Amino acid sequence: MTPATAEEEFLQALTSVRATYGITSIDEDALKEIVATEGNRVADAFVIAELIASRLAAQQPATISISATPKTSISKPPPSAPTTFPTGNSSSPLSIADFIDGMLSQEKRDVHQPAHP
Amino acid sequence: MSTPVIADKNVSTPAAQTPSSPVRPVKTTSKTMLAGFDLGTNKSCILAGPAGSNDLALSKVLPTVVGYVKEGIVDGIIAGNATILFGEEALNNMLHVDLIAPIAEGVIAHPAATRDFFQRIRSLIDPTGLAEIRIVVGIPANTSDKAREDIRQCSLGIFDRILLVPEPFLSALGFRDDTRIGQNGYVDPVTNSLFIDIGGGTSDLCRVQGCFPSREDQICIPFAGDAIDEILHNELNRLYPNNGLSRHKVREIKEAHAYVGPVRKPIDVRVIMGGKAHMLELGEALGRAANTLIEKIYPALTTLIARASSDSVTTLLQNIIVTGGGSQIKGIDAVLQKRLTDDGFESPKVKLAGLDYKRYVAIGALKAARAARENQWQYLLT
Repeated sequence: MTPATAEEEFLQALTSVRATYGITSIDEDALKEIVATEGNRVADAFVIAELIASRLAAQQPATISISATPKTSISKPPPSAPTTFPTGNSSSPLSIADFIDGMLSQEKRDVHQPAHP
Repeated sequence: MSTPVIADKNVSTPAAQTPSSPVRPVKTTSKTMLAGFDLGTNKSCILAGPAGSNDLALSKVLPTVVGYVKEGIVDGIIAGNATILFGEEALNNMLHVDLIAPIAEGVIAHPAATRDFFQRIRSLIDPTGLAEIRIVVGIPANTSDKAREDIRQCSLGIFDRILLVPEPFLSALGFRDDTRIGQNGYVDPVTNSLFIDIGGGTSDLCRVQGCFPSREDQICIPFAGDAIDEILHNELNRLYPNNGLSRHKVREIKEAHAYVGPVRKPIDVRVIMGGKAHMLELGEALGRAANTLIEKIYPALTTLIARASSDSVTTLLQNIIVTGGGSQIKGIDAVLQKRLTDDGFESPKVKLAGLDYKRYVAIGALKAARAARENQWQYLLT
């Protein structure tokens, strides 16, 4: 079920309840609170899944293709042609620590340049 | 061990604006906590866990607001008779507190309130007060040296080690699916993508193409959710004089109904004015307010696209991602994509980060905290 479909179904259900039981049958504030609470629970679960995914990936043999946990709340990019843009490095995944090194090097170079406030 | 400032009845008031005293308990353990902190103008997100572990001890989104309890409030009105409240608690007691927004347009506006807010964050990360806290803080693109130093100053005595990293880059890290790196068909967002992070105070655009983005790869626009709120508020006052709606209520209306593109009518919004329910038709006002954001973002978007190399630009156009609270504006992906197509750009694809947009910067920040080498962490010197 796509997020758009889920939202449409939710709105249709709300309209149906209001049509049947009256416009005041659903308390707006309570509804907002429920939606916010459930949204937070889904988001927390997503965060935990994201953070342990790398651990699970590291435990799997490299030859096994790991199917990603479906993230129904995210519109993932469609399969695209592999980029020919050179990364300047080997095909191994980019290291976050290397990115940080790049950032710190830039900070040293930029220290005397005017910056956007 | 001293308790955090929130329980201290002798804390500074907003009128006095005296800096709050750092509370530095003697650390008797070697426990280190790593934290990723999205310090937003309106909403902040903090994720934290012990170093050397993938466990998540804290995951919280909270409004970036501090409430100093007013003089003369009767005992028992405020839970625990606290003198400072934070986040939702401050907003829920707004009648009894002076609300201070520590951050404006992505930078520190009230240092004392910011320190109190950071103290609160620290106590959430480590209630014992004994752990070493290493924190990666998201900052707007191209933040000035002074603004960076303000964050460091406000962190003195509260956090132990710090790294300041631009938010759109952290969004890319957070959005990155680590399990799919190297898989056929998966384009790593830090390899070739353009992130548009629309927050409360700033809209930050960043091109990430295989290396840490330079200043030329980033654009920060001090026009975002708060600016839309102001335009909408002015429109409401023009259409419905003496409506009495607060900025907070206007923001709620915006978050529920904002859209971009052609005018959508009618959009009827139920509000309470003077104790009575009214239905206000706000279709045109909502569209007019939100469409101003497109007029600000689009030129910056095409500027960054123009700076990309010809080898990379085709793939870059396929990986434009909108995140932050502004990604919830209805139609923003379609409108930006259509404008790019109409202007002749080759097969652009603008995507939304999804409902988890609130946490991507913090997720990226926590990933950075876990990956940072020992010599990359910056000390906070007194």
